[in-house]
Amino acid sequence: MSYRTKLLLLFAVTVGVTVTIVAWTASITMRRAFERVNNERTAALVTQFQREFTRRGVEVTSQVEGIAHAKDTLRIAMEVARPNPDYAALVNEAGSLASAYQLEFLELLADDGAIVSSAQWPARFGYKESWITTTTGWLTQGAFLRQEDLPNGSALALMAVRAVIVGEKRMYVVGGKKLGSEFLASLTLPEGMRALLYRNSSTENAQGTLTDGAGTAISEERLLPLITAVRQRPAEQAQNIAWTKDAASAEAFHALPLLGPHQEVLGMFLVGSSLAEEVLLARRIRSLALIAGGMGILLGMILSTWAAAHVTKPLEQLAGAANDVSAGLWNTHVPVASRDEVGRLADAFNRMTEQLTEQRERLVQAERVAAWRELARRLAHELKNPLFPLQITVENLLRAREMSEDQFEEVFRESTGTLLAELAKLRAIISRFSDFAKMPAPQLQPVNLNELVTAAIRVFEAQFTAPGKPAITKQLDLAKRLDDIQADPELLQRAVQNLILNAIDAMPSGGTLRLRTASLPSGVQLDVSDTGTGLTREECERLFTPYYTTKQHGTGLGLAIVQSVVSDHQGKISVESEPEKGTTFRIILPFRATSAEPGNQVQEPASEPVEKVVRL
Amino acid sequence: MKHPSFRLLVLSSCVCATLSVLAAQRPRYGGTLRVEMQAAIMSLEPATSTAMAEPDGVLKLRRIIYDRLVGLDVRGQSQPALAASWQHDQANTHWSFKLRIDIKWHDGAPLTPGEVLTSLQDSSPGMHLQLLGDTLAVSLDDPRPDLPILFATHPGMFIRRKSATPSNTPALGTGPFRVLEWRAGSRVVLQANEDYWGGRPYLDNIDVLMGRSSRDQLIDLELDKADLVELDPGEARRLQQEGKQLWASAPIELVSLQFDSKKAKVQDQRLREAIALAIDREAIHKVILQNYGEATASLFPQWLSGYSFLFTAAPDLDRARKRISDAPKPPPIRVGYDPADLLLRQIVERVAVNVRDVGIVLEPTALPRNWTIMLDNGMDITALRTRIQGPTLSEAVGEAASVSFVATSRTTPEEVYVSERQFLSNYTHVPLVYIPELVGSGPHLRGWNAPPWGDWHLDDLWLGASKP
Repeated sequence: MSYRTKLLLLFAVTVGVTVTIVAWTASITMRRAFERVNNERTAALVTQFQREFTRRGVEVTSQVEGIAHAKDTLRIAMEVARPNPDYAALVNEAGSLASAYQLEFLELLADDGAIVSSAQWPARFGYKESWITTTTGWLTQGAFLRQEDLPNGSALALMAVRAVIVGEKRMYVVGGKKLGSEFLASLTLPEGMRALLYRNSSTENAQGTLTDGAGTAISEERLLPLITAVRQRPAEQAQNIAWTKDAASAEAFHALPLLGPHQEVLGMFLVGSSLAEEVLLARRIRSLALIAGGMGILLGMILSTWAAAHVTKPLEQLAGAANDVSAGLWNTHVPVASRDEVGRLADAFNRMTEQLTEQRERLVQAERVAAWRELARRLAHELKNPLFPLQITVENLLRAREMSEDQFEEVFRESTGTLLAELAKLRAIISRFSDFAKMPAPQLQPVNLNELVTAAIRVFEAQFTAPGKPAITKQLDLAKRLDDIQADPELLQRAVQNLILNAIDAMPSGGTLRLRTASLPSGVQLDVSDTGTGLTREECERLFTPYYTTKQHGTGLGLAIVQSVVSDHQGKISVESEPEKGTTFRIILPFRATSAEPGNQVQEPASEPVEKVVRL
Repeated sequence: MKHPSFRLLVLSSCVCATLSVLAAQRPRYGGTLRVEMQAAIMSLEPATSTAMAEPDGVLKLRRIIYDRLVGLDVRGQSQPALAASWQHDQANTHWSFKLRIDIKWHDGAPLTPGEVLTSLQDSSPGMHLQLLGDTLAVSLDDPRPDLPILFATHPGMFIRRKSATPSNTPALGTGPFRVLEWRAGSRVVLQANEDYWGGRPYLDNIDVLMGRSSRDQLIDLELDKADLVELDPGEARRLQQEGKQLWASAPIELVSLQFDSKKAKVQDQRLREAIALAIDREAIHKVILQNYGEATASLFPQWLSGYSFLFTAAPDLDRARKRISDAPKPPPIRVGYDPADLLLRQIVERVAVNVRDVGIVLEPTALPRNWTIMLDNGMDITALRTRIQGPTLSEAVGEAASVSFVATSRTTPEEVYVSERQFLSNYTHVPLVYIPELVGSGPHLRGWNAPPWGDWHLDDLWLGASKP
């Protein structure tokens, strides 16, 4: 992963996490604030409801007491107290009284609880209200909540009971007002809130009714869990209700049980507080967070791009320059665009490459000087050998002039022979050096390495078994199936023969020469191993240097020629050696090599395809 | 010792007082009678179909605008009217009615026998009418000993002059009052017929306001804006307490529940029986009807049939519950009532309360204004007020038969009883109470002499002296 990508990711993650934390914190804070406000508003509304409930209760009690003390009521009570009262004459009295005293419900009950007259349900005359006689204490009690039966159902009512006593008999005055939508409408509702009234059904297992301040019936299906919970545990409870899939339709509902005189749940006062504002604000926060996050990431991308342009670009240039250096371009430089750490790094890199280049040049120069010295030493050595016989021979000829003619003739003849022989040696030496300098370009053709190795070693068969010489055991380990490679067979055979010759030279006391071929995915491999004296590390390092040799009479060009041939075939050569155990040269050749101009390996030793492995 | 002149003074004072009392009780001519009624009468023409129920008030107006061949006195006896006399053969299949002569229409034109024949032909099914001079011969396929009563009570057998072209005003008649002003459904002003063959009526005019609710009538009576109004039983007590005059007929109007047995909710006879058994009719009679009328489980009132008491009207909740103990709980049953009829609504609501005691829910529902009994009104049960016509059981049966009853006017009371018992046994028709017709009037109205079956004899009324 690039530095730029990492930087971008870092920016994105940082912005995302920051925005998320801020949005989450804002949402939590906002939600708590809304909850606190909702709770306060709900508590205020519940208090208002309770205050209004109490006020109406007092009002109802006062009105019922007023009816009980009225003269008309006394007249009715006296009629009811008669031995055979004529209820027919009284059946409409409750309606008149209720109308006069502005009560919605009024019943006049005889001493036994029988309805003498009912304002809310006139047709129920004669029926008994057993609850009035089975329980005492009504006459001193204030208003209470009651489920009042009506012709078309029932209604919640704030009721009060008083009695008119005539002789030993009582006539109960039971009056009250409906607790319904009008009651709710009298409450002052804060914006976003609504009050509902739930009335239990008078029949068991039947659904109740839920109305709002406008008297509109509302489906209780969604509120049923809350209603059921309050029914089971008569205490104030709260629940959020979602009316549609849209969360903005949700309301936080608080349900307050409305209890009858025996603590039975007759209904509930429900306060709904819309969560629309909260949800919309949360959505707005979320949207803003998303926008901020997106913009942050976009900004991060821009910043990371900018940073990459100013920070990572020098690094990338450094990386590229390092790659160039590793590829051999040692004099690579990177621009120094700043004075910061990256700038100092670039400056250090440039100084490093400059030093490397200088060192390399010095090394090349030193190696060149060493090579020339070696060449000079070798030439001197090679030329000194024929020169000494030439000098002796010439001196012998000078001295032979004083000899007899016959002796001179003999000496002359021997001397000229010697001179010619030594001159021939000189010419041979010059020819070898000339040949190395004029390595031909490889003429590529399909070559089977196994066949080439077999042909190459066949030349040395006689030497392996020559009498008077230590025996060398030949061991061919050729791959069974080896694909042809594109190579110049003559050059390649010459290189193999040089390696075989080197191996034979390395085993003056005899040993084993092992030639092994193998197939590689991209080419072929040839190992030439001997069990000779081996090489030191220093020898291995200089082994392929032209004109360097470890032998007494070598020119130092054999392995240089091998390396040149391998290099011209885009192959690699390496050496592994352990002193007193032997040496292995490994050549790896590609299946397809391109023709290349031979011979500048000496000038570019860094590009030589040589691996030197020395085991000590 | 008293002075002779003092005795003379006392004697003369007594004579004057007696004369003034006698003068106050003696009929006097003049004045306008202001009548209010609940019915909104659109036409005085007899209904051409039984599906078109006639308002009760229309007969009251027809009776004083038009004449019949035969009249009825307050005892229900047939009296000569346009027919001065009649006779019949032994088999009661051939009747001849001697028409009165010198009768004039309200426009002064003479009434001809041919016009009498034309007027009666449409409303005399099963009769063959023929004119023999000034005698109307009636031939019947079946014996009909009560034919004069039929002529006296049949709602269509009024003599009227049919117009050749359709008209918005009522047809001309020969009755004691002629139509002076006609506003269909709201008002009719009648004027005394000076040439009436029975003598000019006492009243100069009768001003009838129609379509007045019971409450409005009562208020108008209390404010002296009306002289004669119809009343519901619930208002009677109040009227009496205020010193107004009140006349009550015999129980003539049956309040009953008619089940539409085609409706799934009330198809089960056990359910219908349970409803019938749960109703406390006596409570309705005592409280809602203020002890007027009678609780009944029979189609005819006791005074008319003589056997009504044989039908048990008392509630039996235990039996009602047993009848539906193995039946599933029925859904709410809709009971329709005429929204203009407050009394009917009270009775239906009370029935709903009673029936709730056995676990049946009735929903009292106001019927549409233009509902008719013969058409499906969408209700499971319909509360009806059915008025009997005529002074005899046979006439009442004849009217009832046109709606639902199986007996005929020619069956004996015993046969009527058996038929009625059989008819009521499937509980598709449940009688509740019989109510009388109540009429309230101001203190100046005199001469009210209504028969027990509720007919109004407005032509016999006069207004007291203090009435301006």
